[in-house]
Amino acid sequence: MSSISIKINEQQETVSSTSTLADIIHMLSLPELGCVFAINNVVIPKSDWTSQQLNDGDAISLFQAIAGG
Amino acid sequence: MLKIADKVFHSRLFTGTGKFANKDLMADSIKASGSQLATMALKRVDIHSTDDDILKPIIDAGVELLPNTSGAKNAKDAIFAAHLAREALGTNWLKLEIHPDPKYLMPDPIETLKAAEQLVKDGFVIMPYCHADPVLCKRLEEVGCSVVMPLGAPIGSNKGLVSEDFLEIIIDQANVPVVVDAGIGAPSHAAKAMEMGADAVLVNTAIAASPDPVQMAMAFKLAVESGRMAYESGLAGQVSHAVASSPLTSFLDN
Repeated sequence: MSSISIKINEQQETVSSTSTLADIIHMLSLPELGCVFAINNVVIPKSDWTSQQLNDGDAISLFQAIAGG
Repeated sequence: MLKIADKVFHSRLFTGTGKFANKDLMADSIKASGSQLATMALKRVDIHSTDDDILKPIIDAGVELLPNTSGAKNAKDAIFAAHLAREALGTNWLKLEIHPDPKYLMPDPIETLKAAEQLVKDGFVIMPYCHADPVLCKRLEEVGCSVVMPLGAPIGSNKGLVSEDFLEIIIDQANVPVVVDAGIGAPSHAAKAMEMGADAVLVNTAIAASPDPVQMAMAFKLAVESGRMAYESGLAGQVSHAVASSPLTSFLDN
């Protein structure tokens, strides 16, 4: 199984070439609720997480709900 | 009862989730406050140091989530943040806050109005954090905001209702609920806002930064209930001369 290099919030990460966004959440041990991805400033619907394949060199933004006023 | 968009609130105290020492204290304080709506923020994940899941304790406490757009410096930022929040949390409710300058976190009225107009069209329930500017609050109402949230004093300052005279005008003119947000530092400030006829208050720092946030949350709950009850009862007006509340009888014969 080959691996690809992607950037998550400007941080380099190596993942399997078959990885999806759902796999990234799992890999980072993040809860599904409260997390959201954007690619090129376009919000990715949660329903696309399992189908959205990643490509070498992709730059992904990942946000999480945190405490705030 | 307070109705905003499709939701009915029994509690007129909204809370923020920031600045608590830990998430258990946050959850216990929110529960003690009786609040049914709590704000939260979005942050870019640091993949090497992820944050705690704060959602679970809030959802377990039966509180609705109100994501904010903190960090947005202009309307474009805020609109993007709103869409992120809707996808992340599955709610179209939004506390719209746009502050270009981190020192005072003063809301940008022009960008806020612009963003509000677009986000209402995008189907959001908008609760805008704004200056206690009666004209701006009317404009926000006109573009379809579900409430207006004028500040009582600079955010985090705990100075109370510095903007009292303007809040009075806003409350008088508004056809949407008025939520006093920011600056409320003591339960007495919250009670005062409610006595004036504000529909709700949003409190974060004053609870979270108290040495005993759970008890302070309870104090705010009582203050908000008390202030609302006083408003509904109707305050006996002020007069500048004495009006005796006991009979002024004469005791010695003349």
